[in-house]
Amino acid sequence: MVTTDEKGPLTAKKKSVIIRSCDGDEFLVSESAAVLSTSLKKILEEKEDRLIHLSDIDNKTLAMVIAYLSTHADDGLSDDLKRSFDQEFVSGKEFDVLKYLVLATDTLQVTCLCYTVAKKMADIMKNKLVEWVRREFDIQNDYTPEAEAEIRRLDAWAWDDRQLEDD
Amino acid sequence: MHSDWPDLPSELLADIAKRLSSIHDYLCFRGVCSSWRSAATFDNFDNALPRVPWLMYVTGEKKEEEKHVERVANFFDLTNNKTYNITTNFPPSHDKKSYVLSCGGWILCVSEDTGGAVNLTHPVWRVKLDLPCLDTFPEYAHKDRIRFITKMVLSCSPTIKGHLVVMVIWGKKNQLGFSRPGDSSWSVTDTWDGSFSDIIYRNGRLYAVDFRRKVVECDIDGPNPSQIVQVFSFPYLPDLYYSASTAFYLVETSGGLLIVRRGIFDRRTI
Repeated sequence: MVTTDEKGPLTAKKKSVIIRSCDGDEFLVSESAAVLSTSLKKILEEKEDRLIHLSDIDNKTLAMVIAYLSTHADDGLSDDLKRSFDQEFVSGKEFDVLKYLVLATDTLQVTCLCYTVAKKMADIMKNKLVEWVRREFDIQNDYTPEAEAEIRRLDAWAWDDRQLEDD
Repeated sequence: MHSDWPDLPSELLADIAKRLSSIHDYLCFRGVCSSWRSAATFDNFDNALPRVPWLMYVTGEKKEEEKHVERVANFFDLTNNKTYNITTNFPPSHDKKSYVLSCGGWILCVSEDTGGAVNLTHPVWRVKLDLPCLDTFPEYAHKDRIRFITKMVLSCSPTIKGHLVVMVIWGKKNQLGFSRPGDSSWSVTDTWDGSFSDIIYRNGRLYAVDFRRKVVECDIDGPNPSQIVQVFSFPYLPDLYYSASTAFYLVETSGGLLIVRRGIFDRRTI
């Protein structure tokens, strides 16, 4: 399957590359969008091949990253519009989705998006209990009861306060 | 889809932690699991993010089994109207003859006892850095010890190793001085014939305003850190009432520096 990016079909003037996700889907992306990723830019500089296979990014995540890159490569959009796109882009997304996005942006070295996603994750954790974060993010608490008791004792003010108001 | 969060690389966890603006959230982040704790280090806490400061006040607490009154530092968080009582290893000194100044969450504790020990502490991180004692200032006399240091600013967070400069207004003549952790004595700038009211550190330089509304600059990190250069003199405006009880402050806003005048008795601020 070849999917064109948001700018529509390939024109003769514009160079494009095909990016393949780990599950085999292929995306046609303009070169100007692809090179916003430092990793993709390096690959394109090193080889002539117009097909790039990403072995650790799934199709859903890749589609999101490409939508982001295409928007940011569009010279017709103002910086304000791009900023509001960024806000929309991360809002309402599940933790799992954000996690794969942050991993993908790290691999592809899309620094701006990586920061936007990291900021969104930090915002989700705002004013939350440790237990809430563990539950919602599905994290195994690997502290021994003794170690956790010691951490709680050291920063008792921070732990005790939130125990009372939530959960 | 099963989520395996702790497998996020440490740098990415640190990137997320760095965007937590509240130290309270930062501590909770550290409490989640061991890999999150090792990513959210003391150094990774971003001191540059804008925050509403806490207000600190000290109360006395008398324990039944002890004769003396223990001083407890309380911190009032303006964002949620809560008071936090941080007792672990704080206050930095149980010495009653001491006072504190603060900058960016760091507290300078100055003892008015013999020698005048000075240290910089962070109540949440439980870090304490020793600075040279007051008696290493030139011409320091024990009788001058009361409120010897009146203002303090830091060049950066003390977590950035090797770069910290602590800058102060000191002594009866309100002159400028500075030191770095590990120094054996305080350094002072050339004598200025005015008396300084406020200091601010900006773009690698120390700026100070004196009571005659003159602004000076010191290149603290440069080859000649003791040199004072006048950069601005606020014109005398006859319709403003000036008195000995007027204080001037330097305030940074939108990339510029403002001089704020405060009339202490007439309560007019212009």
